Amino acid sequence: MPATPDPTPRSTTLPADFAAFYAEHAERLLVFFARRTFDVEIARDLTAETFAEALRTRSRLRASSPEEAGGWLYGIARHKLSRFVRRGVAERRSIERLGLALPAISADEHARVVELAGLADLRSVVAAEFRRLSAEQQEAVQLRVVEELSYGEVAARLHISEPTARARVSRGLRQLAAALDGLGPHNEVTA
Amino acid sequence: MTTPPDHRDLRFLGELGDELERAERDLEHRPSGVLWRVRAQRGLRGPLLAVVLVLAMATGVAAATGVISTTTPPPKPLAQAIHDAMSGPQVEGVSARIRFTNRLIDSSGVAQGSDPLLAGSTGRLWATPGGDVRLELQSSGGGGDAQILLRGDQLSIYHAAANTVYRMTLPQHTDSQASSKEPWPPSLDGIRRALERLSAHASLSDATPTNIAGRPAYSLRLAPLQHGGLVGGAEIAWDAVNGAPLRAGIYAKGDSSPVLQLEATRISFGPVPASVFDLPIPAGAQVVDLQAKRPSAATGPSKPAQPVSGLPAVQAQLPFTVAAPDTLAGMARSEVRLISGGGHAGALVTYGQGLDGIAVLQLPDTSGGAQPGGEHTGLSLPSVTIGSVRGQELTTALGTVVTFSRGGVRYTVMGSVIPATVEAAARAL
Repeated sequence: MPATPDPTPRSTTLPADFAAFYAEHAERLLVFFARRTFDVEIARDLTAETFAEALRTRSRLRASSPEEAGGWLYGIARHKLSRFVRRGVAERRSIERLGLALPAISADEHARVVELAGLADLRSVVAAEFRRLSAEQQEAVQLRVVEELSYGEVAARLHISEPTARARVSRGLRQLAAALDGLGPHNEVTA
Repeated sequence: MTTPPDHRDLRFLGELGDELERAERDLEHRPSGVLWRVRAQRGLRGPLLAVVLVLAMATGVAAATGVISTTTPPPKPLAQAIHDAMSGPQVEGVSARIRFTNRLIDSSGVAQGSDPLLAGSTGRLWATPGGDVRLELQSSGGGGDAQILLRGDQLSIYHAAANTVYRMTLPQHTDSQASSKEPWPPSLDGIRRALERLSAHASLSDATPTNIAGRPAYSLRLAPLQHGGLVGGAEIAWDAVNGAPLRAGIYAKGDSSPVLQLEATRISFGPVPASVFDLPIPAGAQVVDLQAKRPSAATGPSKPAQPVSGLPAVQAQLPFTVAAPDTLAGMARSEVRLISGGGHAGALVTYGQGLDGIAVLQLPDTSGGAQPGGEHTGLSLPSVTIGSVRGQELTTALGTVVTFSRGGVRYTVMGSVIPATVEAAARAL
C-alpha cells in the first residue's frame, strides 16, 4: 500500500490516505489487542474489524490532526474490545460487510506478535495486578472472565445482585486495563 | 510524520492492508459512497430525495443482477426463505474467493506448519450447475497450495506439500426413481414437512438475515438434540436470491467460533471455463488411489454389495480375531460390520449411539511397524500407552482418535468424546 504524508482518514481525501493511516496504526493496534486478549488470532480479527469499521464510517470523522484520527480509531478499537469481552467472540460485522478475507498467520508471524506484545512478560504482570484487586473483584473477575459465567450466574454464585456483579467485574477489569496501558514498548493512543 | 512500518515481519498485516485497499475501491464505486459525498452538501434535500429514490431502485436492480451490496434480506420464516432461494434464478456458475477455517486440531498439541488443509487458509472456488467443483486452498508459508476437485463422481485431492494426488470414485445415488417423484423446486409444504422431520433430531434456528460476500443471505444454525458428542452444531448460509451456499461451518460444544468453516468472501455468478477444472498437477506427482475394494468376491458386478454384519459373520471372513467386547467404556456394542480399507478386509465395531458413541476400526497391519502421520501429513502426533504397546493420539475439538498396532492388527479407536474415554476404550480392547 503506498504511503502518503497525511494519515488522517477524511472522507473527502484520496483513497491512498486510508492506506497510509492503516500502515501507521496497524501494527500498534494489533499489539494493543494482543496484549488485551492474549490471543494473536483474535487480535488479528479485532484489528481487521476495527479498520473495516473505520473504513466504512470514515465519513463521520471530523478530525483536524493525525492525533485526533488516531484517537477516533482507538475509540472504535475499545468498543470492539468491549464487545469481545462481553460476548466472548470477536465481532465480524464490518469485515463481512466489506467482504474482507482475513489472511492466515504463519508460525513465525505468530511468534513475532507474541514478542512485540511482550506477552510472556505480560502474563506475570497481569497475575501480579490481579492479586492487587480486592478479594471481591478477584472473585468476580475470575468467575466472569476465566470461568466465562454469565453475569446472572456470577451474581448467584456470590449471592449479590447482577448490577453489583457487573460493577465488580467492570471495576476489576478497568483496574487491570489501566495497569496494562502503562506498560510495553508501544505507546498506545487512547480515545 | 514517522515512516509507516512496512510489516516485513508480519506479512499478514500487509495482506490485510491489501484487502482493505480493495474494499475501499469497492466502496468508492458503491451507490452509498456517492450518497456520502452528496449528503455533505446543504440545500440539496429535494434533489437528494430524488437521487435516493433513483439509487434505491438502482440498488434493487443491482441486487437482482448480482452486483455486490451490503444489504440484508427481509426476515422470513425458514421454510419460506428456503423455498424462495430454491425457486430463484439458476446460476450458470460460481467463482468465489473463499476462506477456510480449520481449528479442528489444537496447534499446541501437534505441528501443523502452514499446510492450508490443516491450518486453514484463503483461496478460490469454482463450481458449475452440473456439480463440478474446484477448491484451491492457498498456502501462506510456501508449502504449496492444496487443490480439491470434484468432477462427476471423481474426487481428487492434490496435496502439494507431499506432491501427491489422492483419487477416489464417490458412490452414485441409486434412489433415482424415488427422487424423480419429487418436484423441483419442492413445494413450500414439502419443505415444511422436511423441516419438521429434521427438527425431531436437531434444533433449528430461524432463517437469520445476513450479508455474506456482499450478497443478501440467510443463515441457519442446527444443533443436535441428543447423541451429538462434542459437536455443538452446524451453520449453513445461502444466497437469498439464488440459493447458492455462501458459508458452512461446524461448531464444537461450548465454542462460539466455528471449528471448521468454508466461507465465500467474494463471489460472482456466470459461466466457468471448462479449463478451470483441469488440475495443475506437476509431473512426477505420486497418485494414490483411495478406492476401496469389494470385501467379498461373491458380489456380482451388477448387484450392489451386500453388507456383512454381526460378529460371527464378520469373524468368519477375517484372518484375525475381532476384538468386540459386549461393552466398551460403559457403552453397549451396537454393531459389527465387515469393511474394506487399503485393499484389505477388516471390521468396524461400534458402541453407544450417534456421535456420543465409539467406533473401533480393525484392519491387518501392513505398515511393518511404522506409525501413521509423519512429515507428509504435517502432523506430529503425541504418543499414548495402550497396554504394552505405544499408540498415537489425535485430539480435536470434535473428538479423539487413538491408533495402535498389536498382534498384526491395526486398531483405530475414535469418537466424538473426550480423550480419556477413547483411551479407556482402547485399553479395554
